[in-house]
Amino acid sequence: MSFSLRLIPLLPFAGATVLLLFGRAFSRQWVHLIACLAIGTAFLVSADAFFTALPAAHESGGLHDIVWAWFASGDLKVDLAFRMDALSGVMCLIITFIGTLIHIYSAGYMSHEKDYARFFAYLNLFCGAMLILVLGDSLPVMFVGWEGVGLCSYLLIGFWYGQTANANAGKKAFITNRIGDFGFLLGMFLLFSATNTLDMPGINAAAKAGAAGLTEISWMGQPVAFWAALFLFVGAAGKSAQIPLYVWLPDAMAGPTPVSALIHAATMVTAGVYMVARLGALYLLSPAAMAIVALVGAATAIFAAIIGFAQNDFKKVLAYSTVSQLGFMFAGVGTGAFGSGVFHLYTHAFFKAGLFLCAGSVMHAMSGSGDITKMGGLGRKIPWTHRVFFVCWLAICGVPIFSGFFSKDAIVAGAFATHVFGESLSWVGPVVGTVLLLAALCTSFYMSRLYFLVFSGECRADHETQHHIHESPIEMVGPLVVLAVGAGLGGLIGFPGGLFGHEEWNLLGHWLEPVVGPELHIPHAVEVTVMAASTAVAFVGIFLARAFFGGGYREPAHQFARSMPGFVALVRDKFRVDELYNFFIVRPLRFVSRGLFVIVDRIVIDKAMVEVPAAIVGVFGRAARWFQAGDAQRYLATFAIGVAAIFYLATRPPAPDAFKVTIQGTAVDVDARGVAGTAGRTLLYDFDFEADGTVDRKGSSPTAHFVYEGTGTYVIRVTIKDPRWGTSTRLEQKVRIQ
Amino acid sequence: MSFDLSQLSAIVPLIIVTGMGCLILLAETFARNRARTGLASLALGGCVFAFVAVAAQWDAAATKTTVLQGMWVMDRMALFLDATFVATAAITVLISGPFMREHGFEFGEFYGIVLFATGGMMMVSHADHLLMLLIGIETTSLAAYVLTGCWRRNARSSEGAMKYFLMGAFATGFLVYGMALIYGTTGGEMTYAGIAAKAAVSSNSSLFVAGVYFVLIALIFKVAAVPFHMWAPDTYEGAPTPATGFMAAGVKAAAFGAILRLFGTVFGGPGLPGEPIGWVRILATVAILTMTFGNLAALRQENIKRMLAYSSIAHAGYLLVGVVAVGVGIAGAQSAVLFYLVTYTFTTLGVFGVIAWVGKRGDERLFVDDWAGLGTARPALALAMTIFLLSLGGVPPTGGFFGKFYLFRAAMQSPELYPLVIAGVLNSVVSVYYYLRVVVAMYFRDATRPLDSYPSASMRAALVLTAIAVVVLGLFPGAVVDWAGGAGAAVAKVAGL
Repeated sequence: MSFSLRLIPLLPFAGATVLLLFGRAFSRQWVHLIACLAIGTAFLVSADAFFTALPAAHESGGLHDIVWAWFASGDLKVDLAFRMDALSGVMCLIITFIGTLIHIYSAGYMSHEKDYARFFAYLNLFCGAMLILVLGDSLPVMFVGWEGVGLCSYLLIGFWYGQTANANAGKKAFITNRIGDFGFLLGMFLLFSATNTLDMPGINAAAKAGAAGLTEISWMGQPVAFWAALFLFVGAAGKSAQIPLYVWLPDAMAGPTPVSALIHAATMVTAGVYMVARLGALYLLSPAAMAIVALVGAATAIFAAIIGFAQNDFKKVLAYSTVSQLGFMFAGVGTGAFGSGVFHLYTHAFFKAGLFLCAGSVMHAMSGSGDITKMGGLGRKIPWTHRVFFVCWLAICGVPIFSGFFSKDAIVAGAFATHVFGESLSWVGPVVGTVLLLAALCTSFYMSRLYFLVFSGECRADHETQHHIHESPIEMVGPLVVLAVGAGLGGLIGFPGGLFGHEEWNLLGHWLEPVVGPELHIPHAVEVTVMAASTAVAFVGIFLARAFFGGGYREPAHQFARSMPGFVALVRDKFRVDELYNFFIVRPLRFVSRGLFVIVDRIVIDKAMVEVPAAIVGVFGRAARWFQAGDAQRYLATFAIGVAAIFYLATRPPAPDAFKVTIQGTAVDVDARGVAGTAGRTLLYDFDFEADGTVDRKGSSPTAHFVYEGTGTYVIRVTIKDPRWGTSTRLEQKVRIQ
Repeated sequence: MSFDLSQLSAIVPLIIVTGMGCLILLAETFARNRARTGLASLALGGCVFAFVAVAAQWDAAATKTTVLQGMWVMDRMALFLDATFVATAAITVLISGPFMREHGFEFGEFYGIVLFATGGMMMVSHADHLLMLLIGIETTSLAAYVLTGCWRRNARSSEGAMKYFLMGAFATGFLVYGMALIYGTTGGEMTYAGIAAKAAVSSNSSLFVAGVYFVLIALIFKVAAVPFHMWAPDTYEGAPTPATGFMAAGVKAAAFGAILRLFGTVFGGPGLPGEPIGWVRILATVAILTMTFGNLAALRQENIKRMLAYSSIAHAGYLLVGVVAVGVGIAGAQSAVLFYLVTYTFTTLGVFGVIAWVGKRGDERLFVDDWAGLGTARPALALAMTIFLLSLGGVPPTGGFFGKFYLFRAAMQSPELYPLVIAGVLNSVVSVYYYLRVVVAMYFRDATRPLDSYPSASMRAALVLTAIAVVVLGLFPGAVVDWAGGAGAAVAKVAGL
């Protein structure tokens, strides 16, 4: 079924174009009005498509919109086409809805900013690119969006490019993502060679049918599907900040806070999860690839959560939390619970956007500082931010009824109940589940630490800062409250109705079923045990944190830090992964590139390719200057020389290099068809076979036949005449007749 | 070949431009000091009407007809060129008004002379008779001499005009002498069809061939091909900048129109297989020399106008590659040349428009160093200049890229022409160096002197128009290629005669 899906990405692009071109001429009111209208309308169109048009098209693969045939070359045909099924539809709604809220919030947050229009233009541009990413019906179109969001992310991280640290953070994000994009491209090429198509439905159909191209064993005993899935996962790990490519995301917090909320928490970083879910059928072909996805996800989840213990910057804590939560999502899709992974993506979008915007609001109140050791007691001073943060905090900790509880629980239960790994890898599911439970405990602990250090106890800021603390304006608080409602109750959309014998209560699972397949069947016992366990870890984490940090730094916290100073320092330094990369990757690369610079740049380019031609040109220039000296006589002389040269060229006697002689007995054949310069001219040929001055054959034919009377050595002389100009040329050749 | 008044409808565009030119000359006599913008508007109106008249003839010209007793040919190639000439004139008028006003030498005759030159170019493109060709070329040339020298207080302008006139007179001698030889050896033929019918036989006569070469020399003098290019640097540098643009774009296009018609059909092309006259080899050599010399000389220029004069010589070399391709009978080469002419026309007009607008009275800013910092001081102007320079260099997504692409693709169809294509591509690479020098100066260096300029709406309109045209030609070349293809096909039909 067709629907004008192109409108959805087009609206924010139009907004971005207008703002980039004319933004500086508009007043601030117009700038944010245009930006918010663009994304808001995109939300309305998405909602219209999703709720009115899509239900009728579920069975036929969703809504489809072909804009134009993009390129075709041999077997490769790619349309610029969009498709909205339940999966991309849910993503669209998340992007446009949360995008709209964050646009509104930004109107307040960025109100003192000089480059107001540029900020909103980039924000619009980002939304457009992200919508292309999710709506793209083929891998190349998705890749356009993929690169587009990467570009916007780079532009927005470095939005305050005046400071070197920000510009460097932007570059770090960009370069790390290039590694991932390389994987994405390799995966894409591999898929095309295996399935001859790049369309999502085509690839998934081939995977479901177990196409020979995908299942054939290629390298290291693994099928093609494994390698394709793995390469694509490298791309996903780059974009979604998984081990080992997560390092850019914490630095990306250098960008404005609304950007962190929208791009680096709610939308762009989930693109990898979306892609794996989108190509679920492909991943299901290879249990090994699934296991890698799940294990990397689980490892990232706990690793980043532990780093979160010791961070003292508000946004850094949230950044590591995002990395950790993305790990949960990958663990979900990696264990075959695609619906649960997307469910967590959805709840996370709400509560993490809420948390980030609260962070922005808090930093707004704290005169821009994000140091949580200098906060405390803010609950009373900024009550609305506090309330919203409270709800989002409970959601991320996984306290029952709040949204994070349901989605996290679905992933953990799925890991324990999954069968996708087969016999030999059956250990993966329980291991992943256990690690995720531990990660949930850590999450609950570090988030509670954040909550208590910021909002409880007495304020540790200096007097001046305290004096300025104020609640944010309505355009910031409004979106916060909406997000809090979503974070609090949004989980009900994926209510585990199966527990009560009402599968249909799980609305989200029901929607996604035609796309990602039916939800995993989770036995009652597992479901109930996991629920109890995750509820328990949520509360244990909260109470532990309260014991350490309730009302400020307490004695147990200090005691703990003193008892294990080495470990605490290591965690605070983020396990020194950046230093590790620096030593093993950056420094050797720098060494190699210095060598290349000397050889290629200094010697090959500077010397051989620049100085040598320059010298030649110099000589030429001196010669030309004599002619172009400026007096008309010399010009006319050149003119005359030119005419003479042309006539010389035209009248030059025809000069074939040599004629061909073929000897057979005493007979010779002479072929004087010349090489250059004689083609097409009417020429006369005189053949003198004994060079005695008598012409034996003559005429316009360039070939001649002659029979000698006896053996011996003769000289053949051919004279070629141009009757038009009266010029002639003479050629001779010696032959021996035996 | 009888004559009746209705045949005059074929020359309505010509009547409009020359009539408007006369009107402007009359009005100039009565014009007070400040009334000359009105004259520019008159000229502009004339161009618009002429354009409409040309467009109105397009459908009827699908098949070639000859009117006015064999003097005037009506086909799509001629109309295609007419449209280009009229656009050239219109943009020149838009640019030259503010330029002359700023530099204090505005006089109304300028517009009239631009229109006369345009009329002359139309005669060239429609000529089906050697006399008509001569009249057209002389009308155009005389107008061009005047346009070059009209800035009387500027010594360089007078010098350029003087040299152009001397050399031009010399070249006209060759043209007339060549025509006489052709007339004599064909037994009194002056119409193209008549000459073409006898060319195969007459080409055995050295006098006939010499006549053809004389005509060729005169025509490639007009396009400033090496070694007949010597006038171009001095003339282009000396002429008032808008006039330079007009000559580099319009006069060159007209001369190429004549070359295409004469050498593509009458003296060669599919009609005379095997190039019995032998001009193709000569022109191939000239093409390589022209583009190489033009580019190498441009590398060392500091004066932008002089640099672009050499660059314009180089572009004539590229176009000659297309003419050679036409000469060996490659289908589509004709339309490639025509398309190249259109992109080159808009690009050149734009580039000289920018140059005209960067300077101000007493400070023309003609050196590359003078352009430092333009990117920050006047970003829109610098952007336009960048677009034009990239188009001259043949960088996508500008029209110049597709111009070169179609031209070289046509030449690639014959293995004999590979050396020409290789030389052309290498030359394009070299040319990017000096085009980018200006871009580098504009964006990566700081201004030494303040870069302010006089405000002018018509200048802005002309530049926006040309910049959009160049980009559109680069993004959607299809439509214009189709028109040029129709124009080319019209000639191919003649060739079959």
